[in-house]
Amino acid sequence: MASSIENNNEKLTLKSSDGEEFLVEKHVALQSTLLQNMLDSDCSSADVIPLPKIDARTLALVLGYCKKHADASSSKQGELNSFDSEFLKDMDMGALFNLVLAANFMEIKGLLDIAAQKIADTIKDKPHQEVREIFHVENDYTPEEEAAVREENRWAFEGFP
Amino acid sequence: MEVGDRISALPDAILHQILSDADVQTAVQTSVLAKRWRYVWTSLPNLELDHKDFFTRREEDRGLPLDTKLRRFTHFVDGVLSRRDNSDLCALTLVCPCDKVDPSIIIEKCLCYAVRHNVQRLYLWVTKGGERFEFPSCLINCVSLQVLKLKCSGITSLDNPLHYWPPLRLPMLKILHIQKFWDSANFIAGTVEHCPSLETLILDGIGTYNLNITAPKLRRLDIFYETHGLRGSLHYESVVAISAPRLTSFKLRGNYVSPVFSTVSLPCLAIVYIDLGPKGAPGNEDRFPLDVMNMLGRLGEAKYVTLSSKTLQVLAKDPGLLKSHPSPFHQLKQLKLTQPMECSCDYFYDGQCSSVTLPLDVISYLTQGSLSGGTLVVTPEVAISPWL
Repeated sequence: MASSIENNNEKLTLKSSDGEEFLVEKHVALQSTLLQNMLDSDCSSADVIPLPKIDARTLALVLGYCKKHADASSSKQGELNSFDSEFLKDMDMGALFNLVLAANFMEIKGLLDIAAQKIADTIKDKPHQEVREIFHVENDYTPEEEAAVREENRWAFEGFP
Repeated sequence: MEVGDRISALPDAILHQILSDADVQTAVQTSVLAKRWRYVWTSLPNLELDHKDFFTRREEDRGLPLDTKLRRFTHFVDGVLSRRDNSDLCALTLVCPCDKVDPSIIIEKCLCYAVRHNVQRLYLWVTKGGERFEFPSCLINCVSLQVLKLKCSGITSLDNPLHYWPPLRLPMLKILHIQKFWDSANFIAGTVEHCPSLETLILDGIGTYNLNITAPKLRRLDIFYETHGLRGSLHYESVVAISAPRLTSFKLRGNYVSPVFSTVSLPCLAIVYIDLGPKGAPGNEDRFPLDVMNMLGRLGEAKYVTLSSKTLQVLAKDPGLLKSHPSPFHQLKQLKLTQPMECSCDYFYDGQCSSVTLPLDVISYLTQGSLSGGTLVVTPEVAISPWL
């Protein structure tokens, strides 16, 4: 970590899948374990780091999260918590899934945690048909197959309609 | 924005994280969503099986008789264990009473399943009937376990040993956290001795007459004595002997316990937190200030020291002793004195610490041994609760 502070002012350029370039301060980029490992192993000698799976809109969101967390001091945990809960509020499902995949690819644990929690909260305590509709999951079971799956796990449905 | 089934396209590792953030029952129930989901839950690396959570999800379940709830819970846990695939378990949380036959069997079943699947982190809370709980023999020698958190409700007195636990022998264990435990037969000492990798030991709400900690790799030791126990068990003397050459942090709290402390040198010690008093054990009341001073003397390498106001009062009881004893700390960088919460509004009037009365002879006893200028901080008492 000491080196990240010394080189505080260095910047690097990230390129999204749709070709947009983002100039990022190094200490912000270090929120991503992927980028940290690249910087540590000097794989970043190239001027621009391409992120071929992440579009510009998602990358902007990710970097907003990283900047907030990189700049906040550890004493401001409460502020960060409220930032986190606001961050995903009202986000549409498509954007949320882009964010989960980006956080997973870039290895940003805190962001992956809050995004996964948000999806989990959406699944919890809802009838299956509603979950399928929210996430556009197509039920490819035949009615007989679905009944069989329910039967093999019936101990998990005790008391459920 | 593209629509379509984004969630089913996620890799299993992310789906596992999402399902772990829900609860195990929800996770199993997702098997009926579509074919992609049928077996996703069966390789969940983290399982959290909590009989209390189990019946809070739906209004109509909350009023069920306890026996029905426990029967359903054990039936459910049985189902999870028998349908899960053969992948390793990273973490298991089991919260369950032990005072009925079915749950007792299921606890043993779960623990043995976890050991067979190389569990690394185990959190077990026996919510009732802790005196009936026994470690299954498979767990006693578990080679994969790195973190064990154990809370056993129901064992309530030191003088009435209802059970004997053999020491655990866990070669990889790094963190041991024991809550609410009356150690009448040296279970803690024996276990610590047989867990050579131990780095963190947290004893939160324990009772013990005799605590012998020999741990070559131990870095952090918290001993918080239980303050609510059976009448008669509260006031006693407790012998604490520590041999932990790498210890960096030591915390000790006890309201009516007098620790009689001894240790070999602690050269790495940096952080010390002491909250003792107001009284020692009956019979050694007069000796209590001396016992505390002797203990501080053994912790002389500490750089960051926090003492509660109760501890200061104990030290202030014997001014003669303060003068005749050398100052314990010779490298002090910060001395923090905590004041009880309920008084903090007086002390911090207008944001200023205006009216704290500090016993000066105690302060000079504590600080005069340190050559370099350290800082003295007075803060309101914040409830310190061990993490994990």
